Amino acid sequence: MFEQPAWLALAVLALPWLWWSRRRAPRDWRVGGLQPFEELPARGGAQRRVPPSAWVGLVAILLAVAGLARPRAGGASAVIVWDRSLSAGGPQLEAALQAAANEFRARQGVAVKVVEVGGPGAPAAEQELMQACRLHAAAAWLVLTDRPAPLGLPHGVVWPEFPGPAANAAILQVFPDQDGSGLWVVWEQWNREGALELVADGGDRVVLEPSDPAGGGPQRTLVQLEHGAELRLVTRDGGPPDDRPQDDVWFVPPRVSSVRLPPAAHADWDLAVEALWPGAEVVRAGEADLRVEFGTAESGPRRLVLRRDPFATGDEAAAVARVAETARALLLPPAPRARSECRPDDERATWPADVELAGTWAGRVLGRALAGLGGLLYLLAIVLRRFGA
Amino acid sequence: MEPALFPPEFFRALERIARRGPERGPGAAARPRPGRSRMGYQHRPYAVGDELRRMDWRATARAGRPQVRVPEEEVGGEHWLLLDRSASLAPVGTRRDLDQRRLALALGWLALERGGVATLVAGDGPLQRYEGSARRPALQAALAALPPPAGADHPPAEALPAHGTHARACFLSDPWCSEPWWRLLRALRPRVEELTIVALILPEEDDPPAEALRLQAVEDGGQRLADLRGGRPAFRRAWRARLAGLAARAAELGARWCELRSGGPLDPASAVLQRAEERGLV
Repeated sequence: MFEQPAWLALAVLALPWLWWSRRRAPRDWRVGGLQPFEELPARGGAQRRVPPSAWVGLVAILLAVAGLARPRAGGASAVIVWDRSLSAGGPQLEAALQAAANEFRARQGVAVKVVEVGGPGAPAAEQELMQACRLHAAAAWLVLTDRPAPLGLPHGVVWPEFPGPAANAAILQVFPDQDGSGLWVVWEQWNREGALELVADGGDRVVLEPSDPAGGGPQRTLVQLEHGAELRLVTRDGGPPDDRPQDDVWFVPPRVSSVRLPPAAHADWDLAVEALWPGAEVVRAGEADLRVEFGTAESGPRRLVLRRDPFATGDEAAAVARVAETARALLLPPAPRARSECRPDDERATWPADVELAGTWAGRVLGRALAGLGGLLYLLAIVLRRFGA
Repeated sequence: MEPALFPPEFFRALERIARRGPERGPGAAARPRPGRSRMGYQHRPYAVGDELRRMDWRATARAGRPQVRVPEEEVGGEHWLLLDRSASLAPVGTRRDLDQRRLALALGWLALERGGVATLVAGDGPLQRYEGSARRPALQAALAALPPPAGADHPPAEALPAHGTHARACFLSDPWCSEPWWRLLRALRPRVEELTIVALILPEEDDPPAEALRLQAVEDGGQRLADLRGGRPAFRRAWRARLAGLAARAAELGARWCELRSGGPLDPASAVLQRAEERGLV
């Protein structure tokens, strides 16, 4: 209910206030005469022990404490910034991140907004994560990532650390040789030495020797492996090279040798096929509906059914993009992996001092209003007490 | 622990005041120094211009020629100390009672030291007359032996000096003096050269606690509830009005009215002397 519930502990001040404000029994007072007191109100006998001023002061104290504790005024006052980039993948790390997210949700007790940063092909570093915190106002942030916590974390940001492997090897890119001689594999290893092996799911194995064992940096090796296969990096004895398996695997899409289109398909299909799959043959045959069949050299035909001919809209570039997007998962090679996502990096960034995080605006305003109202009521209580109320 | 009535520092302050010198004025104890206060016992031949009432016929008969009595200066004087010993003098604590007796001793002590006469009238007790500086310890003892203030106002039935006595009277009381005393003072005034009414006021009478009070009058037993949390301005008005009323009654009598604040718990015994000196009482 409150963004800073620790302030609620000040509510105990209400007890000494009530004790101090209670109306004591009339005090016995001996005087030489009663004449100067005759005009005074004869009160003090059967009055309430706790006068109205005490209750007003009590309400004032409770309002001020509630204002300091900042009531949650709706909306997500807690945000999870979740790194979905390649480096934050892997079953073990994902399970740990999920557990941390569940604990955070349980602790907050309110709806938590999740902001995802990065993706399989989109790297995410500390800058992107800090920017996401700044853009989403909340009272508490949880950053789930494999990156180490920056120095100078502002108040309210929780950045648990999940140390990654100190050494890593990764496949950065695989692309076909222009002359058709095979596949170029771009790979790199950090903090480890020695040769690795590339294993295709068909059983073929290729040894990857670093060209400069003492140096570093990406390595390029030309391999003769089939398209349409999943490639995996392993050590010479067949085991995983590191604890980060997500960057040890690469799927090589099958080569598209032909594209079979319905007879009525737009003429621009030919240009699009040439652009996306150079050398593939375009065949117009079959039924009238838009059933596009991609013939592959390594496997059976892959079929896609389009609801309408994208080239019929007249926007050729959009049509090409539409076809590529639809066929991406099956037939297009994945984007290269960023080295920053694969490189083990334990260097800590520093949270910029000029990057301020915005708390929940509504909660802040409501808190100040409550605290101000509490202050005014307390003054009223003092005035009432001064006049005997 | 009950504070001492006459501690050493009180007498040191009293001694300092006494060293200032004798006061002048009418009194019964005379010193043989020329003056015009009263008729002395020395004689001289009549000279033109002498008042006939100063003629001493017996001395004239003895000497065979007119003789007049030489007037003398009177010092010391006669002092009447009237003490209100009613219960209102000490409603709470003994401070005012002690200050009253200290002030009474100071006035009587100085009068006796200067050759005067001190007459003590305490409540409805008998008159006690002290003459000469040798009687100072007796006056001190009498004041120390006074019983605590109690009861209502009961001035003595006979507490009046004879007519023609050139006396000074000082009435030491509180702001709760009632009609019996006023009647006595009215009867006393024509018989004395000077009448001073001293009202000793306690700090808590000027400023009672700002809370609900169950008041009890110590003399007549009256009770009342009063709430001073919101009624303090009204009380102050009523209190000032009462004191002003008492001052007006004193002025009506031709008496000098003097409000003297009694000391607080931490004030020394000589504080009342200091205040009395500031007001010209001693």
